[in-house]
Amino acid sequence: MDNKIKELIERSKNKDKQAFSELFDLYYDRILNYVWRRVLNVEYAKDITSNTFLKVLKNIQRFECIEEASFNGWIYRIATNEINQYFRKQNRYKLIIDDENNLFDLGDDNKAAEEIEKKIDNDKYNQVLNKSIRQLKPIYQDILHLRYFEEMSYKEISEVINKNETTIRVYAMRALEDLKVILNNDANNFLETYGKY
Amino acid sequence: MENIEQIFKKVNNDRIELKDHKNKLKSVLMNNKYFKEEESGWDWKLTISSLSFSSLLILFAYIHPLAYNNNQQVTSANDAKGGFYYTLISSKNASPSTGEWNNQEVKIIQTVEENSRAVYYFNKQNILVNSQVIRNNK
Repeated sequence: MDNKIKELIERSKNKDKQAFSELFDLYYDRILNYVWRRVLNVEYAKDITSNTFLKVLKNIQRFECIEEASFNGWIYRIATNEINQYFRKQNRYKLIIDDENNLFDLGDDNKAAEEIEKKIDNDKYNQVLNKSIRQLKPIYQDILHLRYFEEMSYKEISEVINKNETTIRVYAMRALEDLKVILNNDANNFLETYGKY
Repeated sequence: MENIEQIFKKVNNDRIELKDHKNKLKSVLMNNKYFKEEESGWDWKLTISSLSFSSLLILFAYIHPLAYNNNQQVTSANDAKGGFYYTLISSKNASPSTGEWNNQEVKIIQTVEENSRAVYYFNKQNILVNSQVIRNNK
C-alpha cells in the first residue's frame, strides 16, 4: 500500500480530521464515478457514495492494513455492497445519516445532474454497453466494471469480490464472452442504430 | 473481445464531477460524531471498579487486624471466625491453589467475574498479603 495512504489511515484511526479529509479527496471522484457508472442515476450515485464514505468513517478503526492495495479493495468492497443493496432495494434505497443535525441538502447539484443525465441519454456507447452489462450475472457486472472502468488488477478485484484471483480471471473471461453474446444477439439493431462497434 | 474492450475505453473517458456534493459530504463527514468523541485511552468502568475494590481490600487489611488487637491473636481469630480467607474460599466462583509470592509460600484464591478475575494471596496465617485484578482478554 502507498505509504501516504497508510499514514492517512493510521491518522484517521486516531481521529485526525485533516487526514480523513485528504483520504476523502483521494477517493471521492473514483468512488462517485464507479457508482454512477453502475447505477446511471445521479441522485442515487450521490446517496450511495455518501453512504460508502459514512461507512468507511464508521469502520475505519477496525480496518487493518494487511497487504498492498488492501484499502483500495476495502473501500471498493463497501461501495460494491452498497450498489448491490441499491439493486436489491431500488427506490427503497436510502441515505443513512444518523446525525439529524447533519442532514444536508444536495439540491444545488440539480443543474449538474440534469446535464449529466442529458449527456448519458446522448451517449450511445454508454447506453448500449450499460444496457448489455446489466443483463449479466451480478458478479460478472462487478468484475467488468472493476476491471475495465476502475482498471483494477485481478488481485485487487479478488479483494473486493472476496474470491480468489484464479476464479476472478475465469469469471472475467466468461463475463466478456457473455457480453459478446448479448451484444451479438442485438447486433442488427445495434448496427442499424449505432454503426459498427 | 478487443472491440468490446475498445467500447469500454471510450465509455471510460466520461467522468462526472459533483463539486457541491463533494463539499457537502466532506462537511458532513468532518462534523461526524466520530471526530467529536474523546479518545479514551483507559477503560474507566474497569478502573473505577478496580479502585473501589482495592480501597475495600486496603480498608479490610487495616481494620480487620485492629479489631482483634485487644489481646486476641489475629491468626487464631481469623481461623476461628473464618475471616476474609474463609469468606472467599467458601464463595462459589473461588478456585484455590498455592504458589510463591515475595519469596514466601502463599495460598492463592482466584475469583472470576464476567470481564475480570481477582487474585488474592494469603500467607500461612491466612492473612491477605497481596491482591490484583486482571482484566480478561476479549
